[in-house]
Amino acid sequence: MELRPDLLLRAAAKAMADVVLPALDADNKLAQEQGQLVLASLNLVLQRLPQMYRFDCDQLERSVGFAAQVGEIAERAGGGSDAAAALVQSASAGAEVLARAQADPAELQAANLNLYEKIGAVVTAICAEAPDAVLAEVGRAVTANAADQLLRDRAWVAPQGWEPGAAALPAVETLITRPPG
Amino acid sequence: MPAVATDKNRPSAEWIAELRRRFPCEPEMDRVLVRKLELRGGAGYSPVSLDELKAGTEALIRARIGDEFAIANARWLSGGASKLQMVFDLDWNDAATGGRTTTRMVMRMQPAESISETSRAIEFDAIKALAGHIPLPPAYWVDPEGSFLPYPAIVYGFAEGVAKPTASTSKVTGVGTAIPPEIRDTLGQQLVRDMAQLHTFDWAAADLGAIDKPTSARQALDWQLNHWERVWTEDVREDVPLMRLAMGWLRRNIPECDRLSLVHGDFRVGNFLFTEPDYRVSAWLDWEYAHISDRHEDLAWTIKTVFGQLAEDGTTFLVGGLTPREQFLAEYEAASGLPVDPVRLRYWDILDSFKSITIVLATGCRVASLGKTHQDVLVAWLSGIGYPLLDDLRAQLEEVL
Repeated sequence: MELRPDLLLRAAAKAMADVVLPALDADNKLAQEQGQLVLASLNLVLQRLPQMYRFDCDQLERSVGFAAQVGEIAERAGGGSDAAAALVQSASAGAEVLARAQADPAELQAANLNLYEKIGAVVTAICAEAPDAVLAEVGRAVTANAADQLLRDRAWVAPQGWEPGAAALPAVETLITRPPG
Repeated sequence: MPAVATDKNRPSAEWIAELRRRFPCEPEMDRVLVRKLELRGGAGYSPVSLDELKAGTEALIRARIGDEFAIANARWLSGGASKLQMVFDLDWNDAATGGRTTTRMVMRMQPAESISETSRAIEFDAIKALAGHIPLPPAYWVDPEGSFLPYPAIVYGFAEGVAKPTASTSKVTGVGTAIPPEIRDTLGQQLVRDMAQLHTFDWAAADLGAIDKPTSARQALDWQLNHWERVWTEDVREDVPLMRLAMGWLRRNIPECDRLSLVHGDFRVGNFLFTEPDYRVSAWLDWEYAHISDRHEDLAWTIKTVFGQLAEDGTTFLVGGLTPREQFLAEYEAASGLPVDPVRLRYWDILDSFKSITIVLATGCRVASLGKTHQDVLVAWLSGIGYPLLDDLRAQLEEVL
């Protein structure tokens, strides 16, 4: 998927800086101030978005450790309270989530890019050299995969309104569910 | 041979050389694409003021005709996703009319890198070559290397008219323009007439300037296949196996071609102006994709679903929102005296899909992510249409495989 938050944010920030802000009425102080804040917000989100997942993982790792520390203190203080029991349960759940949060989103994206590039190179080689029967087989595989993936891609961009029948597309959140673990 | 590893945002000389070797295309486009990659690692687009454009335009005109002129009323002209435009009045001695006169003109300049990276020389020379054959603005001067203006540019005459009816709606850049029923026939007939005139133009006898003349129909097609596979390879970030399959099919199924024509390359509603209220086509614009090719390239592009709309009955597809598809093709055959071959039409429909997806999804995302254009926000937004277009391509390929 190319229509990603970083692309849109970067372009929106540049439009604000190059076109919109210079066109604002210099005497409209409220618009000037809020325009600058919109630009600063866009740039901050652009800068922090790639780090957000790692930030949350890092925080969770230390929260789990912190919970254990507080739990031990509670234990030494007599323990046994409902709050202490709930903390132990939540710490365990947090540790379990952390154990599943292994790959950075940038790694996922890079793996997808790498696979599509390599698949594309093989398809190109088959088209150039293989007999018709092999081409037909790879053609069926590629178009079937494209049908699946493009359903998700089209649902992703549906709010842009390119397709008259976009309302009939499934909501993207129903298509990209993946079991945990 | 293994591909040379590269950072596409900072292309190496070795990678550029490999692309040129793998995908030889017409010499002027080769020059443009090499220039694009050589400049890619450099600065993005910085806003250019109207005063800077005026000064650059004055420098260009001074170099061509001397000091006897004055520019007045310079202002921005909006429209399109790929170029910056300034309209102005030139007070000058026009040799064509033999006296002092004021002529309204347009300066059209590309940004640092465009969603459609093309040649200003080709655009200029196409307009020059076709003058008198179909409605066109006069072409005056060209700055092919950006020697006078910040980037390459042309100056041509201002044409009166609108690109879509005043009382109409459309999405960006003319896509999905809704044309009122009462003017469809008038505009539709002129669209067919002008396309027929273009495709029967005797290009072999004409001075085409920067537009390279192929030595055979096969070379003309190879240039196009190589051009678009090269641009896809140069610009795409997330490759798409379906696109590789499409190009593989296109290379395995080369059609015969009965004759070559000068084609526009983006012949559609949105790229011509017409006057109101008489609805006379006053000028065809955006000749940057002009080249020698099979006429079915233009035909397949013009009748694409994305450029048309359904009639009020909800089932009849109107080419460009104007004419029912079969009627359009029949009228084209009658006007041009050239047959429409459904096999070639289907072939070029697939290649045209490859081309449009390359523009919006590969080049559009690349240049917007690098801040290379004057309207990255529009170019980035346009990339979303790449996915419905890919789904159309998937359906096309399922039919032919």
